[in-house]
Amino acid sequence: MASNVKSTRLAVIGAGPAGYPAAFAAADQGMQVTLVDVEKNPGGVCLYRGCIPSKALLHVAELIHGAEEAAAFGLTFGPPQLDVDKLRDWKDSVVNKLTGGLGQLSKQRKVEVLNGRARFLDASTLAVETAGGAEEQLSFETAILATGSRPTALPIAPDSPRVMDSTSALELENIPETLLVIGGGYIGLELGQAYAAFGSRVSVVEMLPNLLTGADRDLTVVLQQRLKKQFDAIMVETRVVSIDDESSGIRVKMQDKDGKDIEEVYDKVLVSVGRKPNIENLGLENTRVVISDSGFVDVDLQRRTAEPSVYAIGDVAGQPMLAHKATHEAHVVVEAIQGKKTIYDPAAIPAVVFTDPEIAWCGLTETEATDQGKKVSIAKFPWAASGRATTLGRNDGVTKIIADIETERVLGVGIVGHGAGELIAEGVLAIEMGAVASDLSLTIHAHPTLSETSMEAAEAFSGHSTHFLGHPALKDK
Amino acid sequence: MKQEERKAMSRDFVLPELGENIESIEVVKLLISPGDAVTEDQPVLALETDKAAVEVPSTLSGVVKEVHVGEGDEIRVGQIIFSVEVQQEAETQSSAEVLPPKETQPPPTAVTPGTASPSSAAAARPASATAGVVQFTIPELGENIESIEIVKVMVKPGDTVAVDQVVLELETDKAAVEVPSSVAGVVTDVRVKAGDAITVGDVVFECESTSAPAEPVASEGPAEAVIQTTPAIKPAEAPPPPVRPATAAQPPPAGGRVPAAPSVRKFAREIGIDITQVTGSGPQGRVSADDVKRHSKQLNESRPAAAAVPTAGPPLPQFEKWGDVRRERMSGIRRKTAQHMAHTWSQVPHVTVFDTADVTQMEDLRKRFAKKAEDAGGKLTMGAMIVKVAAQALRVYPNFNASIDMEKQEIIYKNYCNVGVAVDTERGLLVPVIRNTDEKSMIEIAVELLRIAEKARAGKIEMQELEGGTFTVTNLGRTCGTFFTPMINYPEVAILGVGRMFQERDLEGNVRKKLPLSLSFDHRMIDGAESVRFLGWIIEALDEPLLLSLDG
Repeated sequence: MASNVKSTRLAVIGAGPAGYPAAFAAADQGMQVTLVDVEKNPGGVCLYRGCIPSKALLHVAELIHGAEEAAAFGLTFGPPQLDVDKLRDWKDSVVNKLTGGLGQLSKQRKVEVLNGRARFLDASTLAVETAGGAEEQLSFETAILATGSRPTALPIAPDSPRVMDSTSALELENIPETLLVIGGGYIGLELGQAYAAFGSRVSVVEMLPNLLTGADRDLTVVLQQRLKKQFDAIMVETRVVSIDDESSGIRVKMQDKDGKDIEEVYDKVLVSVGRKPNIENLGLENTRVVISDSGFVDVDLQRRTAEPSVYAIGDVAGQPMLAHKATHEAHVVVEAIQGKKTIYDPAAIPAVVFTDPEIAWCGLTETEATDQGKKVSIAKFPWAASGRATTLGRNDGVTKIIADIETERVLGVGIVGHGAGELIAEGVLAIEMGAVASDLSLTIHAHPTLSETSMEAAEAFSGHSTHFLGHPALKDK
Repeated sequence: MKQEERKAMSRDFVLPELGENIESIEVVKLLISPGDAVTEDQPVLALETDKAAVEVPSTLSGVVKEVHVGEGDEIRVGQIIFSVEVQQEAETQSSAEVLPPKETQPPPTAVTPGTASPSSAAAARPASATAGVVQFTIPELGENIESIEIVKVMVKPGDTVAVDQVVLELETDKAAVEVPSSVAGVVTDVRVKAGDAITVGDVVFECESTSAPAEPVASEGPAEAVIQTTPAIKPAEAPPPPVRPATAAQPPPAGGRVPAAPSVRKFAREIGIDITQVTGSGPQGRVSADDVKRHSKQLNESRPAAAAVPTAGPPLPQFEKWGDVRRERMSGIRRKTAQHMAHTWSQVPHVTVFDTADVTQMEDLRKRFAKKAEDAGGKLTMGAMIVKVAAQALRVYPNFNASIDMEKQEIIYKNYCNVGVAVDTERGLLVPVIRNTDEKSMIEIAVELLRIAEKARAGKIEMQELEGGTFTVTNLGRTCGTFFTPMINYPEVAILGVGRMFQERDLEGNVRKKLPLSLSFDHRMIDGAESVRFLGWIIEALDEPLLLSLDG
């Protein structure tokens, strides 16, 4: 029974990259905020078992490969000695440092953090079940649903310690000898590449014809060239038929596009076939909140659900399921709650795959332009012609700009190469500001940097890039 | 809070919304200084905006404690201008801590839903009620009510009050209103008295609760919990929040995005400008903040100016110079009428066409069938008969039943016909409206007209009975006045004025009864030739009553 009836101005359910920025922004505006989460400190999937730990591991993977490749420069290291426990501890310390920091920020902002699981009793009351099983009631004026998403389970995958999802993979229990990554999206490839660097023999199986569907092929192919050397096998257009735990390993039966059967036993399997929004067991049926057919919460441009006192942001509110989109929505929603006319209407959202080389894109992709039958101008600059890339020994990269055929307005940017994730920010800004290609080529970019590749790509729209005498910007693509 | 414990409170006066799209506001003159006694509605500031010179009236009464701005300062809406010491029992209570009272804010544009926060007016009220003691506060009365004055308080300490018992008589700028209690108990403390100007949310009285009120007063809850116990009274209910506010702002335009920086897009949205309508001056049509401002200015110039604050004219002389004077506060209705008339006169080009109808037959019929109307509960007056004729005429001439939207450059034709009839009451001029006049018989109109006229004179007319009119008939009466130039009841486009009946002999020596008619019309909508046809139709129908049934 309820031991307590508290009330708050704003209840935020979920303290991930949607929930905690919303809570902080609201508190900064003087609202009384209660943040509910199962963890002691804010962070959500992103900090505890997603973005942050994976990037920590990927940094180590990069060091391993960097050390290897240094041999070509005359610098030789012996084979790396990996202390998995120490690596795990370091990764955990990164998570703890950041989540602890968020806990501090919550205190400084006087955001009340309730540890527990919340569900709606009605449109103005939550029941929060805390650790001991006790239940508290929290009445609110406005609530923000930010419960995020979880890895999609594969029905045919058995329940076994050898079958991992992203969460267990990041726990780094051990480095398996062989690892099959099921699903060739960004999560599978990032984790696969990390485990490969740590010593596993990794294979990837993907149902669709390409890895990283959604990214342009001319970018993914650069990554794939490198993965071919690091992975045992890359199987596209191949279906997983069955997965059986055979105690000494996992037997996986697959079938390729020609109907040929493939069968292998792997030490461990990583299931990374997608993520689904967390909308269950929240008592949403006690409110007017509507879930659409896609499984996401239906929201309007201000992220308000069909229940006027409830907003939804982050993974639970729709695609793309990215932390930075969630944070942006958090700011929109706090302004909306204050009655401002703010809406969620970004001109471009970057997507980054933190493999090595990284792939990053924003705005219109070449694939989309083709699918939509939209005539665009495209300029590409190969990193083979980049001075900085050459000094790094990493000429495996391409910077691509997609522009409007009439106005040369930048519609999309795609980059593959070392540090693409950092470089893409300029592209997002260009699209948001309504920049035209000349704006990029007329802006001085420091030399020698990889950022010059954007400037040089843009130069192709008005002639030729300085360092690349390829075709001028292709029109009528 | 007992009477003895009540002490002077300090309240801040903040600059309210002055109008849309005002970019700069400069203090030209301070009309008050510390120590002055100031009353509500007294001008306290003379400002110069980028649009006009404006005088700002106080919403507070009290003694000025501190003035926070100086002459020549640039100020913004919401800025604290001065603070007053308010004595709660003696002075009028107004919502002081609250930023612009909702009534004076420009109406939200289609861009966003939910800019109406239900308890904004109540946000600052101290929750002083203790367990067992409940407060009754002024509930929501209706939309766009600018002032509320207490006419009569029907409870005193010691009285037992029941739920739904009428405890207050109020006058708003629209109508007189009776307010029933939503709480029950023994009254311990009455906070208001006749003559007070109050706002929604003000505490009326406290009582020791004998039954559970609508919602218990949460001892640790926010002040809002107390205020929201009072249900909305008839006729105006706070509109229910929309289930799917799908009109929440523009989605990206179909033709592609408008090139503009995020800060510019946000700016446009904030000031209610549709960025897809803005011409960009930047390369390849990029839209800058200046482009948005320019577009907004252009829109304002073509829109008829609606002053939220009365513009300053030459100052009044000191009337006392020539003898004794007596100053009286304008009643709510008088104030509203003054604003309405000033606006209509300045915006609508009036033309009035005069003519006389021969109502000899009509008068005869009126006398003959008066009893029939009486039996039905009405009074068959010439006025009622004219209303019927006018309603029929409106069917034939729909232009006279329309309204103009100058901003959108559209004419709004209404498929309904609601004729309003001007009624002179003690409180001022009211225009109750007969709905679907064209569908009612003369007798039905007579019955209804009697009912609403009586209601209006008794001060019991409801808000909704004063709204929705498409045309107005105004009668000078039987004592004096023939032709006159009636003012159109905006947003209608025409009004029919009826003068006193007189008698004259025709060429054969017969006595004829004549009725002077004055038709004012909005020359933006209606031209002279049509006005003559309309009036002519009415006159023919009055001259020859059978025509009404023959031709319709």
